[in-house]
Amino acid sequence: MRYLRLYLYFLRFSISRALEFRIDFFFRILMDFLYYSVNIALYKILFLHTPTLAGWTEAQAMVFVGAYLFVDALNMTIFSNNLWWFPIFVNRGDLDYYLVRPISSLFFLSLRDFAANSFVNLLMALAILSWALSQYPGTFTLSQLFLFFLLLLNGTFLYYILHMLFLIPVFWTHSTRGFDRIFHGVSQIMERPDGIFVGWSRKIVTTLLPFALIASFPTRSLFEAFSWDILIHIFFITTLFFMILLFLWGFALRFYSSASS
Amino acid sequence: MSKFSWVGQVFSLEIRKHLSYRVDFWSYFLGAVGAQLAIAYFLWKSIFDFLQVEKMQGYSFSGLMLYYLLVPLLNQVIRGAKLGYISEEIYQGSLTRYLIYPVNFFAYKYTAHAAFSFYSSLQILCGLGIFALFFPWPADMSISFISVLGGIFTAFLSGYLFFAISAIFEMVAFWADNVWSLVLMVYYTINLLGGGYIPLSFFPPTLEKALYWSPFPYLLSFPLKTLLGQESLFSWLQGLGVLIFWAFVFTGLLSIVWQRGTRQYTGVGI
Repeated sequence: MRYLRLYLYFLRFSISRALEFRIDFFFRILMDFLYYSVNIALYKILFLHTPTLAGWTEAQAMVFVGAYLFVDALNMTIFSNNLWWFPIFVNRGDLDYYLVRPISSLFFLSLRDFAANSFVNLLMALAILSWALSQYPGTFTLSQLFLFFLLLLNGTFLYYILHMLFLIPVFWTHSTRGFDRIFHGVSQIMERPDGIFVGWSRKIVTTLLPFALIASFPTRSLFEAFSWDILIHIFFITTLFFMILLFLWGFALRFYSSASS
Repeated sequence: MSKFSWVGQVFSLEIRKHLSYRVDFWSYFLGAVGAQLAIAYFLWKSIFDFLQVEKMQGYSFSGLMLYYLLVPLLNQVIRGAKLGYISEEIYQGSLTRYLIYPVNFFAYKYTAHAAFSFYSSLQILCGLGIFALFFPWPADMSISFISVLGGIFTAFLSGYLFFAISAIFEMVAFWADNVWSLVLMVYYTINLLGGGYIPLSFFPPTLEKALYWSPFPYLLSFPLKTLLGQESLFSWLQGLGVLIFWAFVFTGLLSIVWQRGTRQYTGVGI
């Protein structure tokens, strides 16, 4: 309850700050609109040359595009700003400010800055997803849609965990952005249907680098029969990676030597 | 001392600066380049396997892989080290020191940009070597020593065009409180319309033709095709003409925006 109340304060503060910078607010909305258009255009161009992609038709692929854009928008709204600053805080020694508060430093650092401008884009991403779902010739049951959105929320959380795991090495490397550039490279796995990965590569994208569980598996849950195995696998991997994050966070803090480290 | 002796000094200083951030440099090579290539591999393999074809839009499978390997490497040569290289100076008020230096601001910034491009072009050679180890050399690409040199030379010209375009958007910082998202918009547009996500030959033919009159293909696709040996001498010269035309246009615009922007500049930062 205390954490929820604190988060509401973060929200209020972030919204009032976002409204101070109105041009930036407008530019960010435009930027994400363009990003969404580019992603849709990319799949539209691909489908000019093939009738299916990894077993999905164009309508199914569009639902998948809507799904990962929705996850991206959620991540941009809730976590992205915070994670952008994290390596800078470590290198400048500004992490002290977070460590001396009487709350979880990981919670404070990850959720303090809510991107109010990206919230508008979240609505846009939701509209794209709704459009894609309405274009699909088949029908969905309510329970399928509920599971789909639940798995997308889980996917957003998993995306955040993985991003943090790539940033934490900054405690040791002291590079400007940790392994952020590697993360942005490998995280593109999330933007491709899991069906393109076969054999050992499939094992990797569902376990070691589980980006396929973020949007592709949730989308699959709409088109295929419900499977407990897959559901358990997704939640198990998320929990496991969260525990690894908690452990690594505590471990890394021992190496933090404060200002100008 | 020659009037331009500072160029060599800035160039070498920038190279040394980048050498001190080796983790960032090589993590880009492994992450952005390696991961993008791996993802492209599985995506296109599934398409080629499904369609049972040898070539798509003039590209064999290994030819496409070479294309996707070179996209991020050339992007780095063309785009330089980072975004925000002008807007940050405006926001922090540190532009003032450049205004009182006896050196042209853009010449200074472009020298720093070119130093990073030079440093990054070494990764192209590494990339080609690694590609030769893992993939059969694509018969549809006629890469030669001349085409690599021509490609890198064209990439430097494209780098100037990119520098001029991005500088214009960076200078919106004279009026707006944050231009980060605006500059990223330019990146997205160039990546799609310049052939960064998918070769332009996969676009609808009329759109592809129309695009070649715009500056976008000259910011990635054109130097890339030159490097891959896909441009004849005539088409290369023709493309070079269009590239230089756009470079002049954007240099003119840059000069106008700079003159108006510096009139707005207060020197105290935001």
